[in-house]
Amino acid sequence: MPQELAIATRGLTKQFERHVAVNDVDLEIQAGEVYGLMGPNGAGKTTLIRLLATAEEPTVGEIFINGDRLLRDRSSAHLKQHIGYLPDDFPLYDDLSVWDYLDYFARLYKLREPYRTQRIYAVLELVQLTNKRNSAIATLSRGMKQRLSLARTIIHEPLLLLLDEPVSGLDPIARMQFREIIKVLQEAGMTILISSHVLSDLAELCTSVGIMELGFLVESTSLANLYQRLSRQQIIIRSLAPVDHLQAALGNHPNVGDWDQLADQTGLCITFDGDLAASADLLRSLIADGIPITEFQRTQEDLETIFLKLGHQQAS
Amino acid sequence: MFIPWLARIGNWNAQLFRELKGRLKFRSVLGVVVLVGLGQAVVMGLFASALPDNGTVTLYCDIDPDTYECLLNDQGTMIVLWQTWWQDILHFLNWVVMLLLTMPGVYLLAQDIEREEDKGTLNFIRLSPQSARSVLLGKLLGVPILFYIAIALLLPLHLVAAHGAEAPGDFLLSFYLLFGAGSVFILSVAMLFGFLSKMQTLTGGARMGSGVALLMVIANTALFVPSYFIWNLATSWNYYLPFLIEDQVPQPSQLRWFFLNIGGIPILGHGFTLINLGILTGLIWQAMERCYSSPGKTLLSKSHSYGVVIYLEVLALGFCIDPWNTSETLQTSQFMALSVLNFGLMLGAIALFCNHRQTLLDWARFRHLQFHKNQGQAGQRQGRSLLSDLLWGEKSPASMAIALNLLLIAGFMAVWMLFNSRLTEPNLHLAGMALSQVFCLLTLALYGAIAQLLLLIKNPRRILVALCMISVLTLLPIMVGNALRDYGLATSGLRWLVLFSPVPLPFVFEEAWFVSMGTVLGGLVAHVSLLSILHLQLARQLKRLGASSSQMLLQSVRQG
Repeated sequence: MPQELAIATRGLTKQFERHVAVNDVDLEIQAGEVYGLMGPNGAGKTTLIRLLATAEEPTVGEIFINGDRLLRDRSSAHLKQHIGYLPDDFPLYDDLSVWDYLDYFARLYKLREPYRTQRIYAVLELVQLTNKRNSAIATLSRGMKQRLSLARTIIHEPLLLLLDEPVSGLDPIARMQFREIIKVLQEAGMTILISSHVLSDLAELCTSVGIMELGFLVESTSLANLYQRLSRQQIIIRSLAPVDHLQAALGNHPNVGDWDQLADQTGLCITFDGDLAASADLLRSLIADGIPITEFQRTQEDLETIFLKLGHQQAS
Repeated sequence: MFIPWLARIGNWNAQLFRELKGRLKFRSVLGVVVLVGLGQAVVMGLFASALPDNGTVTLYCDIDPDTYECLLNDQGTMIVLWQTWWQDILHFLNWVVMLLLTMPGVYLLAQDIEREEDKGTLNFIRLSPQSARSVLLGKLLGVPILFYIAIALLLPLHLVAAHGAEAPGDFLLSFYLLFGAGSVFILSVAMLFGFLSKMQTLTGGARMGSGVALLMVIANTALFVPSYFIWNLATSWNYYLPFLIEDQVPQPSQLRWFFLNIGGIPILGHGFTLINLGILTGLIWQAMERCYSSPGKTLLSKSHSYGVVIYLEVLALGFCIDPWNTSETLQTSQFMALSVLNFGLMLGAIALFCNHRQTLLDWARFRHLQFHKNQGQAGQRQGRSLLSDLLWGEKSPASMAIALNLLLIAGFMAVWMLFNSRLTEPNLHLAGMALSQVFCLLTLALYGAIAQLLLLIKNPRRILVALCMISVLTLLPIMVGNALRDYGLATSGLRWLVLFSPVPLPFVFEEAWFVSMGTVLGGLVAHVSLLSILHLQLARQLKRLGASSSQMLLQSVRQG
């Protein structure tokens, strides 16, 4: 098996009755990557992550973690120590305090003093719960509980993090805090597999993405490659003139494709297939045509647009 | 409530640390201390009120046989039977200690495991490098900790009562030893039931909540503790009967196991009880470790099932092999007891190691792909042979393993019959037993095949369906037998009925003895045919499950 891969699966399949939740998946994730898993509900993302976390046994297929075969039995205890798994629900012990909870898991992972205390302080600081360390878990908000769960997942410094819908149900501030933590973990060298429906988060965090549909992994590539292949260049143009003047001025330009009117009726979002020089030419010609330009911004179709454009099917 | 020794315990067993941290709150511990103190005061007060006072005759005064009044000493005060008084307190405390630990203990452990499984918190512990044994030991020692403290607080009074009752020192040692072993056994059973409550294979996905925990409390209080005391009185404590039961003289015990007088010699009684409790507890822990490490797996692996059957048959056979017994009646009751045990064993086997639909689907699919892979690599033999897989494989159907277990049982029954034929002249009675045993085992093989087929159905409560079906099939021959007898058709009807009962009917209905050779041969042919049909159906269904979805689709299109 290739040694440089943090995760490699071969023909991984999980079948429930006649429903094949994960179908012959060959997944490869390089060490140190943040890999985003996208797909509609029922596409098999959670099952795939559960298989990788050994929470589920595959019908057929093999999983390799850092080149070693991962099995569900005790023979893979050393590999499991390198895995941190955060499921979409995050059950906690309400009778313990934040510190006791992390202390318990640090002991389960055989962390010894003084390193154990240092590590607990480090993860508490990372998830911004230091001031809550003596609070009972029952008193924490949902966002705090989510962060505490993440702290528990990384207490033993795993090499591989499996995060299933980690931001679902969080408010925008909690989501932003969560994103920042993931970035820190990535910088620390962890390989992270993250599934989410919030594609803007994935676009911000991930280096590679995979798209699942009806149990198949239909796309698995670096984010840069995905943008290059599937994302069209767009230019947002606003002007003080009426929109139909702008449309008339754009009509004859060779690099301009179709366009959409902006929601506030002050301009257009056009698709553009030219390079930088061509876009400079376009700006120059609009000014020459007497259009009072207030904004001219080059951009790309985002991950969500690409995903919707691919028209993936929902499992029924 | 931080205690330095707690941190040290945490370095030894993280799970125990977590349980103690969650439970050893100042208020809880204080509550236990106060309650145990109050309880002891109430008990002592009640017993003190039974002491003779102001001429009242009670159990505890030395009575003049002529006047039936309490005897007085030189100082003019009544002579109190202090030893009897302390003896009664000790006996009361013996029960209290056993029930105080096991009643709440089984409830808390069963409920704790059930809750952790239900919430999903146990999954995180499973991912840690801790061994199953370490986590489960932490639970066993930690979850009922408040009741362990209560027992520890009761011990001084227990020791004082033992001293006052002039209890033999070796009895006290024996009590603590057997109490400890019995408690570990029943608490382990409770933990295993906690796991079972979440096993979808048993409940069909329905949450059983605290039902399992309550069931365990009832089973412990009504069944285990009384029968454990009775068993110990008949074996290990037979020697101490005069002390334990007033005016009871020790009876020369007839309880033997393979010629060993376990009822008469205390050391043998202790050894037998402790060794068997050890083996049973070990088996339960093996099953628990399987539940913990791989949820969804059957409780017993096929290889373990052979070991369990051999162990239980040897254990039962030990009580049924008696060189001094030549009584036909006793032979019959031993035979019936062994037959009922065999039936129970096979029912247990069906529940404990028959794989269910999802596992069999995985197995069938894997073997299907393996077969095609091997075809692609002509000449190369890969993977396990089918026979070895059926006998030892973790995911394979259980029919072959059931057949092997039935062969083992048949072997032990043959040993029992050979032994008895040495004692008495070979006779019709013994021959009847042998023949009915053959048909019982064949019927059990049929049940095994039916159960495995039923465990393949889509209904999530398939285990309940299978157990109900087997129960109906078991009761049917006896009910039909009774009906036939009422209509005066017993002789002819029972000739056939006897061939399809998992318990030996000739010992229930005398008329069933008269079976002709033709009926026996017909019965054998019927059994072989039925077994073939059921196994062919099983193989067909497994093949269907293992086939790819597209193959199934194409087949249905062709058929459509």
